[in-house]
Amino acid sequence: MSKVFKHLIFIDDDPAVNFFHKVLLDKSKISEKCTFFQKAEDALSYFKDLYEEDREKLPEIIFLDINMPKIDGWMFLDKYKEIINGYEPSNIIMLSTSTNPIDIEKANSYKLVKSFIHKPVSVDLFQNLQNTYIS
Amino acid sequence: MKDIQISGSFINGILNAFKSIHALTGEQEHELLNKFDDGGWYDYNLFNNTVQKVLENNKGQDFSALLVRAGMIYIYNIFHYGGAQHIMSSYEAFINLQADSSAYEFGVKGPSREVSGWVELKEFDKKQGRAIVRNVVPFPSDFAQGVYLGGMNLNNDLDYYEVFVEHNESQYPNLNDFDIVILFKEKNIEGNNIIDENVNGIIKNKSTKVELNNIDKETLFWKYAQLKSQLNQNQIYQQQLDDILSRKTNELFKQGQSLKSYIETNVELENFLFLSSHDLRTPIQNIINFIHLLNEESFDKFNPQEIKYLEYINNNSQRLEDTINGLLNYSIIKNKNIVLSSINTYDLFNEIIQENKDIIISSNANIQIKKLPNIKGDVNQLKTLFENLLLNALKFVNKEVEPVILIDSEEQENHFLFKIVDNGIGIDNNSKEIIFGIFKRLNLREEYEGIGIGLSICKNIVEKHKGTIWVESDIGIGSTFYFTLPK
Repeated sequence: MSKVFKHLIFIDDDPAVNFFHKVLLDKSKISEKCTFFQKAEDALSYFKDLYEEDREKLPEIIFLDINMPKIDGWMFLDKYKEIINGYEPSNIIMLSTSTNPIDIEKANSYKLVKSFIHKPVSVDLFQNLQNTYIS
Repeated sequence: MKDIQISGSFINGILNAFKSIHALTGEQEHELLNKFDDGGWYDYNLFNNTVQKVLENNKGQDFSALLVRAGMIYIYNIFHYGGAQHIMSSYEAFINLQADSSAYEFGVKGPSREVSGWVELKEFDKKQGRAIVRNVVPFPSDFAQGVYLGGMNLNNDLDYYEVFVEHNESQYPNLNDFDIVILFKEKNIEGNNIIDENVNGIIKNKSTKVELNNIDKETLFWKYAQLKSQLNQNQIYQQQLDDILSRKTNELFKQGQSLKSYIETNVELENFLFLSSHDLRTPIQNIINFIHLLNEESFDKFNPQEIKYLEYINNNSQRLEDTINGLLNYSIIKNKNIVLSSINTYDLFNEIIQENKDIIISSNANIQIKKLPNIKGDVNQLKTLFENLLLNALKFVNKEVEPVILIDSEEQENHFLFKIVDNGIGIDNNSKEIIFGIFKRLNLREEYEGIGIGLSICKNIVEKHKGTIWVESDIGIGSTFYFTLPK
């Protein structure tokens, strides 16, 4: 059996999306731990604490929604970059229902962003990520 | 046809103009005006009274033709008598030359009124000594003196010998039917030929020697050279102006074309929005209906996880329905023209409060309405505007204090300024503009429900009424929504 992720983080303001992802993750069992944030600001303070206390525990992948109130995905990226300060333990995957090419182009302009995925995600997709990111 | 009006003064010019346009003057005025028929010197007061009387008796008439004709006759008189302006000391004559020499404003300015016109130089042939000005249109003007033609001062540089007015055979000629023909000849300057040959050289190189006998000739020579260079310059300007004009016309045409296609696309989009919102409502309503049935009939058969699935399906279907309805409202309001009627905004607010009594009572809000004005507006749209803003104030309350909402207005120069003041959660500085965009939300749905369409509808309504809407706010203290509506 292939290795599993230690920690995945999902940031999405829609509880239905978070719940759906949780159900898929429970089924696919690809990660030891998953954390869901409904507010980007909560995720930011979580990363800040974790970065200062125990960097090793930062997640392998952060799934980031673009369209969120107050702090959206882009603003999150900018603030996150300041927190990790060049240290890059996590891969960021943008999640969006948008197929707007401008969003895709913008996502590509961030070095931190490893890919851009259209919602909804599937069990297959999680398994592909497992193959790609855990060697 | 050659129509030469000869008269001794500007007064006669005006009188003739009055008389020649019968459509404007009745029998009575004719008699009055005939008093002045002797072509001599007139008593200013008598003249002025008569003119005033004619004007009063013909109130509401378009006098432009009359005034222009008077102006033209006056031009003729200036040219013909070379100083007619001195006859009427209380009037001043002016002809302004456009920078490119292509148009002239002419007229007379008196103590109580001004007679003026605008003419274009259609033809200017210095060798032939013939110029035609036409397209005479009345034009208000500032005062300036000088009579210029093709960049030359008529008084100083030319001996002119005939000016006449040509128009078509109609009894009441249109403004555009006039041609003012000016026949002239240049002042006889000794050594004219030499000057002509040397002008270019002199402009290029001022040190070129020219033999002239006395200082006056030299002065005249320089003046002529100067004018000639100015004329050349003017022709360049004219060419540049033509180029600019044709380029701008092309640009405008292209802009017009793209605007047209933009409008067409927009109309299509709006229709699409409207139709699709309609078509989306039915299937979503079906989904909601069946969820309710499933819930009623099989609730006890589901495990807790499945019940959660159902909850999410239900909530999201509801959200979709709200969004579709919101889009439909937005599209309807955006496309509908406003119908103006007189509205008592105080009564309208009270009506809205009555209709939303339950929400107000349950939110425990204290609503105060100050004096509000009567205005002109679309009653349905303004009701939506007021209601959206009021319901927003009731929605975004600060849970730590008792909600207080104040509705007030202020009369300003051109409009009424309305304000809706709340002591709610407030809006941070960066979001004050984006909240008026469609589907913009600042909070999680679970905290404050809504689809983010209300304020964009408000903005649309206010802008349709030619007003503006904005918000001032402090986080935790409250927000004030301002909007203006015209008086």
